[in-house]
Amino acid sequence: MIIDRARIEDLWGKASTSGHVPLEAFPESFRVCLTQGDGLADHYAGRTPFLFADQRNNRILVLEKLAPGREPSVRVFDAINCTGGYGTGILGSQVSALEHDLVEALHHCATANDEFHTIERYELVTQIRRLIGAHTGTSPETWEISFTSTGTEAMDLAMQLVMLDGFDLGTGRNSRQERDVLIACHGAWHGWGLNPNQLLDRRQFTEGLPRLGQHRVVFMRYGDEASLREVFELHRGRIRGVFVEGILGDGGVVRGSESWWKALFELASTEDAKIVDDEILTGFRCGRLLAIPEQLTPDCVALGKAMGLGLFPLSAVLWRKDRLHLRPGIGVRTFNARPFQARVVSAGLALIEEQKLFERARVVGERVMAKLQDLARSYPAVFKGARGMGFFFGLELDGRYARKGHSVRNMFLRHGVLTEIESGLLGRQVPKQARINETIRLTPPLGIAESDLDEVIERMSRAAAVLASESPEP
Amino acid sequence: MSAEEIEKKVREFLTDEMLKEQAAVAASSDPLDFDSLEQTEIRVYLEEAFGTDVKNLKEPFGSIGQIVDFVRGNAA
Repeated sequence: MIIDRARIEDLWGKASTSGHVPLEAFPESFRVCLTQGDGLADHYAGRTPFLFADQRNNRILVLEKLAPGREPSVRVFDAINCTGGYGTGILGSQVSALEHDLVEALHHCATANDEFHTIERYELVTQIRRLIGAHTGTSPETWEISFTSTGTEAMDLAMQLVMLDGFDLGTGRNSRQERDVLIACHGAWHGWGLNPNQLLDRRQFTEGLPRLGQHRVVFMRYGDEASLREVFELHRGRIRGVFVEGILGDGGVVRGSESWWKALFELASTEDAKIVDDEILTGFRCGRLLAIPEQLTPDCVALGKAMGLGLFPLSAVLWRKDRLHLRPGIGVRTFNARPFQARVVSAGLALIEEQKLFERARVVGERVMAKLQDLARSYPAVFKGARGMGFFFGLELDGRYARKGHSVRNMFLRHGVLTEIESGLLGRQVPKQARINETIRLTPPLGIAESDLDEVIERMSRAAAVLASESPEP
Repeated sequence: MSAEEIEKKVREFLTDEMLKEQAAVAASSDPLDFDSLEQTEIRVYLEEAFGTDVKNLKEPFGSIGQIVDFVRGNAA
């Protein structure tokens, strides 16, 4: 390590008073990392100026090099981790409770791909099938399951399942050839791969990349029943699949009403269109397994992000055996829930069930939501509103901050709360009244102490007061 | 459409749709900072609002004046 444990302990002491440390006090390699970054390519058109040096009890040790022009020094402070990194950390620092399983896995799990059966994978598959059966009101045996690494891969597999529906590999004939329309939602995000990219409607993400030749993707407004009915009416007889998030995530944390979901399932059933429920972002964190209403049964569900407990990429695709079929030879991946991963994730899911963390997220989540709505009302110059479900919260920005999510996120972090930014729905593809500003997302660990959540609100209130009194950074 | 009319529409787009407050007061030659995502938004807007052929764009836009000149010189 480029910095030793004793120095880290020292920095935690400084963080408690939000102290400053001269840059030259750090070892040379650490100084380079602080000033030039960790060396990863910039996927973001601008990475942040923060370095995360350690984490304990859901608090991150944050270092920020002060702006040039001042005496070179570093500000050291702590931030409550309300993301886990793109919403992955459902257990947060509670993952340390899995230490025994992790060590056992390192010592005993076979390093093998999924062409061979393993006990660990059997246990994980059984758990997930039971959970999804309970949510959808189906038998666990209804579902086939395959694992992928990232959510993008999961959505790629889900798309292949839908696009190959009706295709006979033996004859090369496609009995559903006339089904050439895929429906997706404005503002949705389904991953950064060429297949999921087809389901995005923002040209900032699609321009310059090839489009599907045999299928056409059309878009509807999430949660809008009139838009739903219009798109089904317009493409009747041609609709192959509907791709929909449990909650519109990147589009601004928007929930669909029960009646919208009911209408969607009825229309898809009449049309015999397959529904893919993308729960990559929302699964496990909305106070239940999935964000979609219980007792609705999609044809396919993609689960991800949180399954890896913030530790490694692990996603899953589940599909109904009677509705979709895996093409022989596809789905093969080197890392489809390695026994090591399966053992750790199984233990994590067992912990969630033992400690009733879904129920806790529902109850505590309502209290937090009420406080976030108060916060939004208190600072109308900064926020338009708060919404969400369970432990999945969105604070929509407003006024001069409507498109300044990055500076708001940085301000929250400097006040000790790590949050993330959703793009909202700002494009001209939807009418002005349906647009959604950039939205701050909070996805705290399911077991986080209520006192920590109170502190989150206090820290965000202090940040909001500053934001309300000043102009955003350019 | 005259240069003045194009400029008025572009300013409205930048301030109302892209929420670039400075576009309301900037002189047409003042440098404005558009990131790559914003550049795409502007290109899409020019195609939709003016039918501009954006394939000929050589450099990213840096001011309102550049946008107006491009629209005038690149009708589809």
